[in-house]
Amino acid sequence: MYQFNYQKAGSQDDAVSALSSAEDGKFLAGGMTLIPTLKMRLAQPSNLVDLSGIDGLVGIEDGGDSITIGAMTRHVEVASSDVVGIKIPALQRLAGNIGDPQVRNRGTIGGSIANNDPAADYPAAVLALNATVITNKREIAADDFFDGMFATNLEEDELVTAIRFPVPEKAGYAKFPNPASRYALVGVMVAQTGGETRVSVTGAGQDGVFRAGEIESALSGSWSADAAKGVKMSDDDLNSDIHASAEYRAHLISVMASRAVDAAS
Amino acid sequence: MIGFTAVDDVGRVVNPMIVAGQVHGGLAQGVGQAVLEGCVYDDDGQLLTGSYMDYTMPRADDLPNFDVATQSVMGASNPLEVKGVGEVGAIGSPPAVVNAILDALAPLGVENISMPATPNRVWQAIQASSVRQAAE
Repeated sequence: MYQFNYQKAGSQDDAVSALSSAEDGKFLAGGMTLIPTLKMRLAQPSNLVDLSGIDGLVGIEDGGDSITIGAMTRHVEVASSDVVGIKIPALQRLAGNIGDPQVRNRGTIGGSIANNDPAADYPAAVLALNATVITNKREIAADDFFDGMFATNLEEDELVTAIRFPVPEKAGYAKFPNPASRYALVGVMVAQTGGETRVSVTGAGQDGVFRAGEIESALSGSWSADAAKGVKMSDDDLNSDIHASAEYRAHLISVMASRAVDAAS
Repeated sequence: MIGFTAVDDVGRVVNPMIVAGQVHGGLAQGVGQAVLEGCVYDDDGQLLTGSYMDYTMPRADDLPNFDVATQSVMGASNPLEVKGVGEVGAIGSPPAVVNAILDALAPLGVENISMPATPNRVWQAIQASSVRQAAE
């Protein structure tokens, strides 16, 4: 680990101004990616601005036809939330299967989506459930938020404050975990919200999370596991690594989509 | 994997709990070799499985409950009549697991698979087999 300055922000404005005045600052949420990255000397930020002391960034709010989750809400809180369990059970199960208990007790939803790891679980939920990302400056639709592997359309000094999920008619998530890291080798979320069918895929795409239009069409025609499984995905633009070839990932997308439909409620 | 039974000859059992613990550990190592653990290097010699984020060390939830027993012939070479038990479970477990996989794949004509038999490798073996069957 290289040296860095640590600052604990007391408010959103405090955090943004600390970051703006730093030479090369980073927001620190749960640190589940950033801290290991620092330990391996893969990054050398001048300043870490800790967000854990800011009021109002933690909590789950029931808005009737939507749920709003504060950016610094830990995975374990989503996984154990009655409101999430009743309104969007797929999101509750997704949160409960991220990483391991240590990760779920530290990692945050805001950190996960701002980092946009191509194999993280939450980006799939944001995209399939057509969530809105709320920042200190604006609201960003899910389709406009993610911008390729480890990239988003957040501005340099923009801070995710909450994510608002509309309550779907039904939604399901299935992931084939990487046996070592428990990240998604392939994870698929299927959802029907306001009559619209959306299917997102994480873990497989070279550019990170994406929507699978072929499976969306198939499920719009017939919401069934067989319809999802019948779609033959192309392996163009899919990841190939030591854990799975692009061909295998293409196969897994259809299989996980069908399991997600089976699990949907 | 839904179950695992192992019977070993360890000579005189001095401490049954430690014997069972050694066998459990050995079985975990053996199952790990069979389906999880593998060091992968790239063409430049760089280790790609350099951390537990990529190297799949067997963990408790990767394994079934073990049913272990001893069937001992007393050791003749020493007054305590003991034999070794350290890692004894790692000897029979890799072939047992790989043979179980090959038994499951036998209807497809798959006769060989390399360790670790990861999901990707099993899938490739199945794909290669259906290609052959289609060609026939």
